[in-house]
Amino acid sequence: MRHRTGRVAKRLVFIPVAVFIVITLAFGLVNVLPGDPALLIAGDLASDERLAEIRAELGTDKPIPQRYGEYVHQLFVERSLGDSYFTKRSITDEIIQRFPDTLELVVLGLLGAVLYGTLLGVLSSYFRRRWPDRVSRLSVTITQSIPDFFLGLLLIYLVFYKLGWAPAPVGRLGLLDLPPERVTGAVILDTIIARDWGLLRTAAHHAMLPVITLALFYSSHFAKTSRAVLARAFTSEQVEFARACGLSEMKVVGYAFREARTPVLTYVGILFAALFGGAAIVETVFAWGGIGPWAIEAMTKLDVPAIQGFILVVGLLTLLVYLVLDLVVVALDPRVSYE
Amino acid sequence: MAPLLEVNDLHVEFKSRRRTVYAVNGVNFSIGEGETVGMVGETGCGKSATIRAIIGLLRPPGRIASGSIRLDGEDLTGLDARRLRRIRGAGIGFVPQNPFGALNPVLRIERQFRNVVRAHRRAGRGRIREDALEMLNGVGIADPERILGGYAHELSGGMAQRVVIALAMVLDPPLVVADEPTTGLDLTIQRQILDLIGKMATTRGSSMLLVTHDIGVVAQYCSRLLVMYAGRVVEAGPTNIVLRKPAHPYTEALLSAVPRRGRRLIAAAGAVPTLLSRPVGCYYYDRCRYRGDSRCATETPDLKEVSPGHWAAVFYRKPTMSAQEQAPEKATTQAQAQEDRDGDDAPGTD
Ligand SMILES: Nc1ncnc2c1ncn2[C@@H]1O[C@H](COP(=O)(O)OP(=O)(O)OP(=O)(O)O)[C@@H](O)[C@H]1O
Ligand SMILES: [Mg+2]
Repeated sequence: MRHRTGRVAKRLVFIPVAVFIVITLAFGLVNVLPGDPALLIAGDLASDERLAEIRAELGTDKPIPQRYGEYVHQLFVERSLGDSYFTKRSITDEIIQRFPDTLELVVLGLLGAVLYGTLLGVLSSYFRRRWPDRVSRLSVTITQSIPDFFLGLLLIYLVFYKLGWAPAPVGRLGLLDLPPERVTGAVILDTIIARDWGLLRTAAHHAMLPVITLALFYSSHFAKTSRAVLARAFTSEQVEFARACGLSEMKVVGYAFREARTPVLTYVGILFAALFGGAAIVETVFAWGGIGPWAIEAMTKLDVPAIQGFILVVGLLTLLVYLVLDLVVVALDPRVSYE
Repeated sequence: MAPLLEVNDLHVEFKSRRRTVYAVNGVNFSIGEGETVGMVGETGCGKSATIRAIIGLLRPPGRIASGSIRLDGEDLTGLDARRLRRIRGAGIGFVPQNPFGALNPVLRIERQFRNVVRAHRRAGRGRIREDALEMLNGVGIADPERILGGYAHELSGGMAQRVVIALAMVLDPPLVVADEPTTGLDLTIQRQILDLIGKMATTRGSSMLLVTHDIGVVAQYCSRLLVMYAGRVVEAGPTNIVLRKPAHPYTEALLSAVPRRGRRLIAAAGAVPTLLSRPVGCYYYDRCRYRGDSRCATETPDLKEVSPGHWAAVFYRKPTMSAQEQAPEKATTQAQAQEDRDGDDAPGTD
């Protein structure tokens, strides 16, 4: 027990350092990008004086160390992420407005990917070289070779256009639906809070295809890792002894599956962070809104405060997810100790 | 009285697309109630394959090709998975080689006892805990309460094997099979564990099949001894008789390779056949010091009783096993016989 609390304590001590690194990265990545935002704002025909004026206004004419200092000051003292170069809106507001939608999509999509992927992995390793294994491998091959936007379009074509089982891909709700009262900003959660079950159905219906797209597309990661770990686990002495003691096959699968928990959770962490940008295309295809398309637009326009804000938020979120995962792994596995 | 376990003409094959290993080739033996039987033989002779066939857990691609395994009269080879599962643990307890591998790493020991007991009968937590504590006491664990609340990785090798033995015997199976239960443990602890297994079987009155390399343990705890070679039992009988007056040249070679009691058996001269095909003639022909006429090269000897309760798979008793130095023609006969091995096992005599 002492070891385990020690491990957690070390992780907590590391957090301020990690936060500092994330801040520096958010600043550094943007400021080493080639290109001059002033040029993009003023257009190619602008005069040199006009450009200098804009640079002075944005602060991009100052030397990098000074800008870094101002950035840190702005974060910690003004507690602000700055304003967009183009819309002049506060980046914090922009992110708060879009973030919950993406979070909801990513959480549901990942949940689907984990469930479907590990199911494939279990079937594949338990029925090695038999038909469930072949079906599972086929699913993995297909979903990892189709690009996500194409998978989304394919599902729209089949499930919406041909079968009519899904609504048109017009966003979170139908065009005529009024959104629920904004509490968390996550539409599905807000319909639950508002106890508006009809609207919850609509929201869930609209979320179906994008969530399935993400779940299918990312399931192959979970299928492959869990298959690899479980294949070993099913022939392990531990599982053999469990069988020799007469445990039911369900219990035996449970014993084996415990081995796969840690790698699966690790993938959840990695993909969770990656999906905040990675889901952008799916968000675009389904007109979902969300933070991904916004961040991509910001990058193409060199909207420095927006890009920095995005990197910062995703980076901190990643840290948080890793910390939580670490705690979960420690709680689940008695062997883990910090050496 | 019918024996508790009766293995009849058991054949086990490992059949993959490229090759087939004939690991067990017609094994016969039986174990009576309360009897402790030792099984020895050098590596690769099919001891584990036999044990695993008995508990129905041959590793793929292994399968029972033919033969029967009767526990209390019920043939286990044809049983459906459900019935077989009920027999594992409750009818036959299995003590594996590596105790660390065998215990679940993320479940408390108490939970593992609970899972094993509940796989076979309804029982409350308190009752199972009592049984587990009693078992752990029985296997010589001083502070069973602490062990029950802990995990496998907190145990030493000897302790882990004690826990495994307690788990394997908690349901009081009438038969316990142990496959080299001490490989991988320290030498001093090996003896303690083997002593413990022997003692447990005796005090609980269960029958036992013990695969071991330790002739001392066999001598001390096993009333009977089976000697295996190339997937066959070549000699079987009361331990003291087999050890003192081996009737099979292989047993003789094995015993002479043991410097003194308590040491591991080491390989006698020569190597076990690869078993990629069933040998023609006596399986021990190539290494036999006493091999006789062409009968040895073309016919496989079955076990026959050489003295009351003492069986050996030989054609000739030792006094007549003296036609040693006729190797040239014999070698040719053997080579020819090997060539026709794809055909039937027609026993050809000149
Ligand atoms: N999974 C497998 N695939 C192919 N052949 C196998 C497999 N497992 C065992 N064998 C073969 O079966 C034969 C018997 O093996 P077995 O494990 O029963 O020997 P053993 O007597 O237990 O030896 P040891 O003393 O080393 O444990 C050997 O020739 C071995 O190569
Ligand atoms: Mg073995």
